[in-house]
Amino acid sequence: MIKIGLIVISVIAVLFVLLFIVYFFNLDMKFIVNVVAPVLEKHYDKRDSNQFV
Amino acid sequence: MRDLKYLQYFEDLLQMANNELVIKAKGQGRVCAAYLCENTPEPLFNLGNCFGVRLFAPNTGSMDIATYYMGSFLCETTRALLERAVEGGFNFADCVIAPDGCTMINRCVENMELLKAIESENPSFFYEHMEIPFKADENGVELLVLQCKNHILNPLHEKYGIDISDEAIRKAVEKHNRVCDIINQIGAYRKERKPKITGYEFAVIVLATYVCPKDLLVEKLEETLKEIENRTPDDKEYRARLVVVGSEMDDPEFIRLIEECGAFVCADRYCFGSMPGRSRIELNDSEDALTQVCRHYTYSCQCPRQMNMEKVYGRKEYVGKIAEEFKADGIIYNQIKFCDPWAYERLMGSTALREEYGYPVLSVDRPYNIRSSSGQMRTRVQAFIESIEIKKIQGDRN
Amino acid sequence: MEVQKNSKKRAGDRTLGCLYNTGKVRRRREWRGIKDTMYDFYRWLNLWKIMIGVSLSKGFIKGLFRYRWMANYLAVPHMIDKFTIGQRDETLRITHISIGYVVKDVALTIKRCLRGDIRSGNDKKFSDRCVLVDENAMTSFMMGFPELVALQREVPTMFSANLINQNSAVHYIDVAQMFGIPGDVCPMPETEAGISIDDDFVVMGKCAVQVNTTCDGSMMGNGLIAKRLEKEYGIPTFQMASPLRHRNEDVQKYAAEEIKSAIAFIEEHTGAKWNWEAYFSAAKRVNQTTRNRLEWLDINSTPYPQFVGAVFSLYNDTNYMGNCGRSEEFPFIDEKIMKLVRKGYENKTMMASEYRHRCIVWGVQPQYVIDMLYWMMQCWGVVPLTDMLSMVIEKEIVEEDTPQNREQAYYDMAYLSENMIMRNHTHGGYEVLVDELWKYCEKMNADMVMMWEHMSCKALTGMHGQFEEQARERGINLVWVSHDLCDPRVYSRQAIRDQFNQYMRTVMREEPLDPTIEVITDDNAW
Repeated sequence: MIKIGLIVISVIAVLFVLLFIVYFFNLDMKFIVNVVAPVLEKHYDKRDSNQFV
Repeated sequence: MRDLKYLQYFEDLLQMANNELVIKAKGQGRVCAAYLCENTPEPLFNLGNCFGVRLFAPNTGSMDIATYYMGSFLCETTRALLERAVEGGFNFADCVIAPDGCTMINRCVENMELLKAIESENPSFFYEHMEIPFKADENGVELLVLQCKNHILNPLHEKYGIDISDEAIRKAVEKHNRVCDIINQIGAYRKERKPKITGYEFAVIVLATYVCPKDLLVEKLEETLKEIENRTPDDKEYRARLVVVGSEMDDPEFIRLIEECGAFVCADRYCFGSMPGRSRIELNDSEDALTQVCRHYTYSCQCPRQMNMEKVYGRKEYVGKIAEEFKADGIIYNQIKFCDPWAYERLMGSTALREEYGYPVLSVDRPYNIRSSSGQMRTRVQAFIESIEIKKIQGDRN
Repeated sequence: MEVQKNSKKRAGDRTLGCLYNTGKVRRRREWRGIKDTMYDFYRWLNLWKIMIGVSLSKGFIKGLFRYRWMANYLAVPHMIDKFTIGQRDETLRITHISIGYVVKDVALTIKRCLRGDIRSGNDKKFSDRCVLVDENAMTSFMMGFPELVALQREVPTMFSANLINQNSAVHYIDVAQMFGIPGDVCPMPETEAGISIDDDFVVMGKCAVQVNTTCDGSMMGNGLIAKRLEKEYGIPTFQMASPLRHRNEDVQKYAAEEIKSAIAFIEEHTGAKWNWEAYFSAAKRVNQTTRNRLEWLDINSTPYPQFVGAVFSLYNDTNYMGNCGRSEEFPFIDEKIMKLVRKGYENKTMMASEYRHRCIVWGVQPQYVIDMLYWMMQCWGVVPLTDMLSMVIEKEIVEEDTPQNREQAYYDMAYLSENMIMRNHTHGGYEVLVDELWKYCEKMNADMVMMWEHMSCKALTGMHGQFEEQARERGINLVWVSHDLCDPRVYSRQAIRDQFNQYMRTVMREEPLDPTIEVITDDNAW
């Protein structure tokens, strides 16, 4: 039981540390800027649009 | 064609707002109600001893002072008017009545008011700002009636003792209609293949009816109509017949520029033009005259500020009908620079008239005084006329 | 004014320039001491929870690849960081709670948009319960339709997108100008027109209601949008007019009749019936909002303002315009904020190391430099007491259901519409734009006015000279800061800050509190 508790606490602690690193060093935004956004922008630029006034 | 007998006379009246006829009317002890915007019911300024003058600022050069007060992005019409007011060009007015037709008109007149720009000698001089409807419906009519009472009729009556009775309004409408009839009869000659009047001459005459006391002008208008009836048109084909559509345009030089390029301006759908500004106001006896006048202005309005979709679509239909009736080859949509309502209307109108009605359309913005950049405009108009000619040639070949 | 020193030393980062580089996002997040950093971290986790929730909703993936504006939402955490710059203690919490609610509201709007959109979720049944409402509308005419959804599709598409990513509007402005709209009109309606031309709005709803509230440009852009809605997608639109001279008695009946017509239009097209009980419940919440906002403004008039900056106006914007008493959640958020505001006031919490000037922010704020007011505080010690967009509804509306009040309710809904954010000062005569500013300066004991000069806003620039002369007469320091609302190509962020910097250095002859942020290399940033 204690072991499970320790594992849970350790997992939470590791998760916390990892998430805090992501948070503090702004890794979430850096990932989106460098990986996700360029792919999406290329996709939008390729798409034909039905322009109409 | 031989020059019209009174063309020079009409042109002279357009050289300044305080023209010969305004001076004459003021000399007779009459009250001058200055106003702005085509959405203001014009006959209400011509009651009893009062006469209406729509403000304009001919021969505008620098607009430095107005640009300081209003910034460089406000439309040049409103800046020109403020500049002229500051210069003392409107000191003859006994009041200024302005609708919040657009933000810029409102700011122009508010600046006049705050700066005390109009130094009228009349101690009763006043400013009034009025609301006008955004849609052509009966709620709008009701609003306009109340606004006209509170911001035109009652102040004129209280300050100057002007007769604002139903009878006086009916008389004013009758006089208004007389002028409209003359203008429309003259205008109808533009439908002919070889017209007896040029677009420029017509623009001069129509503009004079907005900026002069009408009753002092009507005699000359009648004579001019007779003269045109018997006039021999030039034996020449114009390169293209064009309808000019757009915002506040009190500069006949713009029409002259178009015609100097070989075109003929066969119809005028712009503020200060004859359509719809010179359409008759029909009155019946079953309803008070004021309501009927307001209904006329609410429903006949072609200003893009009217936002209901019937009007949004209707404005393009209206231009399409005019183009058909006056046998136009093309349409020029023009917008005074920095006018927001016409910026959008120009896009929507020019697209609809081109794509849905099949007319070649030139879409341009222009300065208040066309002389300040006539070269650029001339190039664009010439290219447009040529493109119409090429289309005609290609059409003939096919 | 006398310099007001903060007796409390700021925990964590003392200067803020270290957070920035030339990239699209910040180098790292701010260190605020353990307690406040942990709070900020907790809010960050919460934000990702909301964002992941939205991304799991119906139609999200299709929508993400269909709509260009959707990509901006990946940058929401970056936006939040802009709002919280240099903040600690109660004010950090106030900002997080208020902007958190705004984010939640926008997230809900996105979810709904994608659910009903014919190209994404295509939930026809849901779509038929939706009324597309102009983003510039005070949604008061929806207060009595609890079963309907008032969907302001321009909010995620244009308005908040530009708060998140400064370049969000650029593509659409280019499209609009390519089709012939001149570059001198306000870029906000121009962007919306561009979105419509580019077919990048979601398509849904049983009907649509548009308004004329903000300006001529916005009203005109609506015609273009409505044409596509009606002609291409068969969605009928109603145009609801609000009089411009809204302080005049002789326009109120017109305004009330317009509200009645809008309600009748919605009833006709959706089959829903107006519910007075729902209306008066919502009216109570609107009044509560008004009372709370006025109390916050009272506290901002003291030496210890608490709820300030862009978040203050965005919260008011969402609370009045988008919500208008319809959400039962808002009063709780209001209460939470109120507790913190009172606590902060009692604790004499300050947001910078010193306050040198008490400033009223007037005019229309640029969407893409939304953090400017926080920057002013941190860089120059100028505290923004309030802004024009937050000086909105001042009177309470009737909230008891009686036959007499039912008629009055139409006038109240009209009053709310007429006094929609921004236009209650930009329209209605110079008195509401110019004269009222000086009244607020006096009431809030301000010695400075920061005047946003949105260069293509005709209503504001039309009074340029009057502001200048009257401020001089009154001895108020007036700082002009020009911008072009949502087009950063006209004035970059630093070009905007530089106008303020120059004024502070040359006219006020002051040195910055934090010189590391006098120039920020964020012109490429989101």
